Amino acid sequence: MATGAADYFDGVTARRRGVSLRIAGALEVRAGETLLARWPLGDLRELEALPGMMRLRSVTAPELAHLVIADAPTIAALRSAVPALPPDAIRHRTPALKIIALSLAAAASVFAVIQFAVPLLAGQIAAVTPIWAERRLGDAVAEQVKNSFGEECASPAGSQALGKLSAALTETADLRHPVRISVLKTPTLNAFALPGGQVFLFDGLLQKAQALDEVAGVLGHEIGHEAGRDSLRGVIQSGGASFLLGLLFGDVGGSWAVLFVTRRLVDSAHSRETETRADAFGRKLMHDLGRPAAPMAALLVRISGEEKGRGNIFASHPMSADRLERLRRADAAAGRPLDGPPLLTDGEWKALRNICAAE
Amino acid sequence: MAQGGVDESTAEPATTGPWGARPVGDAPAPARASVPLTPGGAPASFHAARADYARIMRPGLALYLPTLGFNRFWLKTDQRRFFWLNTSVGGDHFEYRGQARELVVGFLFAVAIYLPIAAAYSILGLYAESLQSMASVPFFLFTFAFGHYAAFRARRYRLTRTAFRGLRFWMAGSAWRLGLGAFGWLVATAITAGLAYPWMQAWIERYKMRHSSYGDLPGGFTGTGWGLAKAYVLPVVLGLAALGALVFALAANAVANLFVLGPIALLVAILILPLGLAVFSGLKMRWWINGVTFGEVRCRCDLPLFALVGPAFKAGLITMVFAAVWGVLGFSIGAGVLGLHGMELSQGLFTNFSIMIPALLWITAGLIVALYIKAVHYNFAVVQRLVQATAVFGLGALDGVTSQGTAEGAVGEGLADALGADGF
Repeated sequence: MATGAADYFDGVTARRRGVSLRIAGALEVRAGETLLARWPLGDLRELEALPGMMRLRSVTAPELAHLVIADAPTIAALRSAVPALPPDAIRHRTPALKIIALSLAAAASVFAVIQFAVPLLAGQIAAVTPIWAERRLGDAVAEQVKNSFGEECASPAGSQALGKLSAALTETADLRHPVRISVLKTPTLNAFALPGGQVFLFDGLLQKAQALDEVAGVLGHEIGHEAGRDSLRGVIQSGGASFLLGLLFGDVGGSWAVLFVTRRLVDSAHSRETETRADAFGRKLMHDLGRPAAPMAALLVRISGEEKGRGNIFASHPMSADRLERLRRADAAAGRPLDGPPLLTDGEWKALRNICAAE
Repeated sequence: MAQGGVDESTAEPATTGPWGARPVGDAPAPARASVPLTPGGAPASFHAARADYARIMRPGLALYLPTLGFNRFWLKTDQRRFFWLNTSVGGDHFEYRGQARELVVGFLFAVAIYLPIAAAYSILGLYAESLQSMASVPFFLFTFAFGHYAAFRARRYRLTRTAFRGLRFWMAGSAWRLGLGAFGWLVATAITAGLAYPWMQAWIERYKMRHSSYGDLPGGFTGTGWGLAKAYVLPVVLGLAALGALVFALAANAVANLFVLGPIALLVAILILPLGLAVFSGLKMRWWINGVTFGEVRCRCDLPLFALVGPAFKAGLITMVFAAVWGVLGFSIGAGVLGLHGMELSQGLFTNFSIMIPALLWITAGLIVALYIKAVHYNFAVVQRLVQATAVFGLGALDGVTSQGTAEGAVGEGLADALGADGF
């Protein structure tokens, strides 16, 4: 039975050959009398084609060999001869639900890696990072901090008082690398620890403090960050997390938004942990000096107002009121009176508060 | 159907192609029937309408959010399949034989390869930067070279998945050499304050095309740096005009009695920018198509200078209207919902989880719609107009071409995806 005409590409040359088709147990492809191919009907697969056309290949022929059939009667004849013509594997469509499931699995594994493997890895990398390399990193950041916030304050009397306080704190804390504390001239209410042992206390916070123990507690907390090399770990950790999330989301318009939210969630979960640990470190340090730890939290409560009830999931620091409560209980449970000698004399404390005052 | 350069009066009957009379099977294909053939030159045709492309983009983009963008591998494959199938030369259309799951596997492999490199890169970069500022610049240059490496390998994947008349395209050459060459050219471009940029592009395209083949027919590239440099002239002039208008707008704003002219100048600047971009991308694509050769086969693209300006303005206008509506709608809904709880929108936008997430989802959904508008109203028109403005000469040479080259894995595509590098 002659079925009709087609164009044939043998998949070996680029030549287009006009052929006649015949179905005789199999699909026979002939140019004139020459049999070019004989494709078993069960091996036929339908390729994608433009409307009104049909393209066929055979799974047992060369991959790219195919027939292009353009006239309607031939297409109709072929369809009736092979009623259930399967589509070529290349046309396989993945169901949307499967794609969603796959992507959820991918997202879950990336989040698991960020949650468990990245912090572990960051800790390992931080542990083997030589302190001089960490210090250089910190120095680079310190320059930028000073440029964007303010100069380091150094009134002679204030510096002397700060030196005495630093010595008391760092000598009591068992540190593997030296920590240097400086006060920056800026009204911003903050204090933080940079990689490599630099602790910055902002003048704004210093002015809000009503007692030396408040400031000493804050510094103890920051020294705790230094002892745990938290800044370095934070840099490695958040860099790694951003990178992984960026890979997952790809170059999608707007993925930055998802990236931003997830990053903040992941970061805040981890930093809440580190903050709690730094709190514990600072508390122990103050207790070893025979001083109470709660004043630090009192300072934080004073400057942040009541945070209770705002349900702020992004807060990286444990809520100040909770902290105050916890530190108060810890002070009460210290098992010894926390009335050791003040860390500075009243005069020295005054000088420290005026460290940024113009001479 | 006939574009500039194709003389319809010399068109032969549709049943004869440039390869001579067809011996058997004379029924003309629908795609073929409408193609007027000049001796030696066969126009390329594009067979789909915008609505067909929209049908592919809609479900693909709708899945973007629920799959966190992971759907991109499937959408990319669908898009390529669509554009390849609907482009025909001399009556034969292209076929894309890549599959989405290859892209997924390639991506996973690429991540495995790229992760340690990226880790080492960022640690070394950080370290170098801490020794001396700007010391991480060599690392940035490495990323640039690595990007070209990835783009080259991605191109190899696409090319070996492209079939035409029963043969595949393929590509030899070393991705590393291309990356290193591009690196060298980048340095030259930096030294010449950007003047060498067109020559760098020409070198890259020449390298890629000279290592490309169709079966055993070697590819080539005749485009020159100077040819591309000329394409920059008008857009640069337009860009400078826009800048001038902008400066004038600012100056007019400063002088009180010119305050009407300020907004007008600003408007001019806003209008000139897409104009310049549309003209430039048209010229660049035209330059590229005109440079492509395979053996004796040549291409000629006669895309008119302002052919892409209409689609660019249309897409821009629709996007702007949509953005305005979407923004106002989102703001009203947000303010309304928050008002019920006695809060203000600005209060929790950056701190409160339950306000921030819906807001960002809203914005992301809006960006995805904007992507859709651009794809359907601009990208589609670019391909359609470029293809329809192109004629291919010397197709007769294809009859003697035999198969060569094998399909390449998709790791290169994965790397290009991870690096955000791409090319054509």
